[in-house]
Formats: sequence, C-alpha cells, structure tokens
Amino acid sequence: MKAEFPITEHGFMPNRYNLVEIAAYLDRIQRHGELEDPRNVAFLKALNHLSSMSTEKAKDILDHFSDPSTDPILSSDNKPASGAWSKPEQIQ
Amino acid sequence: MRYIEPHAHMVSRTTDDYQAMITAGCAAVCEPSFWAGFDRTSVQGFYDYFLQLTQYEPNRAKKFQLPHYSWLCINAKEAEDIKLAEEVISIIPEFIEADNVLGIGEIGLNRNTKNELTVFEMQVDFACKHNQMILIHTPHLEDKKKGTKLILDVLENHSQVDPSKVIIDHVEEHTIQMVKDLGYWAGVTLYPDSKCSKARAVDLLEVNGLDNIWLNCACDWGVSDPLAVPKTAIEMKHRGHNDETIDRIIFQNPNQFLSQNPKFKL
Ligand SMILES: [Zn+2]
Repeated sequence: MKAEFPITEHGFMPNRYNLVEIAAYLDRIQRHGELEDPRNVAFLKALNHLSSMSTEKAKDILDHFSDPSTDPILSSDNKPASGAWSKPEQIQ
Repeated sequence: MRYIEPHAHMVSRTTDDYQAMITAGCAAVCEPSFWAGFDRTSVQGFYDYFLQLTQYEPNRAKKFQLPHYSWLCINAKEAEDIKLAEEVISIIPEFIEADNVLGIGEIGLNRNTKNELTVFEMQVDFACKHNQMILIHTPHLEDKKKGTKLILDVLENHSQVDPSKVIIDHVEEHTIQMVKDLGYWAGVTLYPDSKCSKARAVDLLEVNGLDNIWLNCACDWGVSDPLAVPKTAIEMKHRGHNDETIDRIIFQNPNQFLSQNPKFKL
C-alpha cells in the first residue's frame, strides 16, 4: 500500500502548526505562572516521549497520562476527568 | 460511498445533520442511550427518553429514508445512584422488543467508581439474561486504560458473555489491543479534543488490523461531527487504501456486527 501523497506531503504542514501551538502553549503557561498545575507538570514530562525511538509514541503518551491504579474508587465527588492522572497528594 | 453510522446521538442533532448524512451515503444510524448533558431526576425521565429512542427518533429519521436503530440502558454517568439504576433497568423490558432496539448500551464506566461498576455488572447480567448484544462506553482521558481493564475483567468473569456480540467503544492506542486480544469488537470514535482524530483512526487500522473494528462519530450535544466517518474514509483514500478496504471498514464491518441481531436489516 502506497499513500496517494507521501505521508509527509499531507502531514508535515498541519503537524508543524501543531508543534508551534504546543511551543506557544508552553510559553503561555510559563508567562501566566501555571507551570505547577499538575496537568502541565504531566504535560511537560510527556514531551520526553516525543524524542524517543519507540514506534508507539502515541500509546506511550496516553499511558503516561493514565491512572495506573487498578481498584475502583469509592467516589469521584462528581469531578470530571482532568486529562492527566496525578498522585492523589498532588491534587489540590 | 456507502457507510453505516453505528454510534450517533441523533436526539441532540438537527435535521440538517440527517440531510448531510444521507447525502454522504449513510445507510443506517444507530443510537445508544447516553447522558443528556444533565442528570435526569427520576425514572420517568428515562421512560420518556426510551419512548423517544424507540418511536419518535426512528420516525424522524424515516423522513430522510434513513433506518434508525437504538440501544437501551442507564449510562455510566448516571449510574452512581444504584436505586435509580435498578428502577431504570426494570423498565427496559417494556422497550426491548421494539423493532429498532439492537441491545443494551452504551453501558460502561465514567470515573471508575464502585457504584458505576456495580451497575455495569447488573446491566451485563441483564443483557445476558435477555440474550441481547452489548455496546460499551469506556471512560475518557486518564480513566480510560484502567476502566477498560475493569470492564474486561467483568466480561471475562461472566460465564454467559459472548465476546463476538460485544463492542467496546472509544478505544485508543493504549486500549485497542487488549480489547481485540480477548475477541471483543472495538469501536474507534472520531471526536475532537478527547478520543480519536481521523488520522489516528487510520493509524489504528493500519497497525491493529481491519477485523472486528468499526468507526463512529458519536456526535451528540457537544462539539462533534456527524460526518466524521465519511471524512475518515477520505483520509483512508489519501493513504492509499482501496475502495474495497474502505467499504469493509465503514460498511461491511458494522453490518457484520449489527446483523447478529436479526432486527438489523438494510
Ligand atoms: Zn455515545
């Protein structure tokens, strides 16, 4: 199977755009003093996966954000998921 | 192009969406029961919703020559109240024989709580006792992987569950393989912000294979795209997949799964 256009032809420009978006987001949270938010802490750590040689980088990032515990919780106190699991003591 | 939209919450959509879907080649739409964006205050709210899913909405779709099917249940988001869940499950038999009802769904987990898990087990058991297919919602974001494992544990520990009649929806890169390895069907949901993009969905097909998998848009009251499935077909074409492969993914696969219920006819 060969792509109608090479993947890069189709994917480079939108993903270059996405990458600049991420860089600008990091500048923004730094400027606004929000680097310590547990979601951003997890986000910054997740960036390490991008430069790895793994062939499953999307999976690695999703695993990174995932709750590693195995037992159901007693209650969620009606809170929605935040997108980044952090150790209970890190949640304010 | 022909396609089946196996997961869309049409009660939240406009008639323009119906028109766009049939124009794009939609041959049938299936609507699982879900959270309305607010908690219903009593079982009566669910009674009316089930009437909407089994009578009003199929008639609305019929005006656009689009066959409409439903799945019934209490969703995970409202499953924290076990007493309410028991009441809702008790009215499902009144609706289960309706011509357009395909099974029990979308049941599952939301935040992976004990009560959600109890209600999930109750509904899996209900489905098995009534010989119904099952459509499962997996949690969002950081809860997805743990929730998918909890869901698989329940299914594997139930003696009457037939994996070929169960679809586990909203899989992503970190959950698809565990679902497929155990013989369950996997649903890939094309939804902005959470869940899966079109490009990633095609990656999942290329990496994890074309068997026992469907694509759906899960369009609802949030920002979502009722045409996400045909648009992903275009992404497949760009990647060099031929028409037969595209037809298999967006039409034949959902048709194969859904036709296990003889009520599903195209
Ligand atoms: Zn849904």
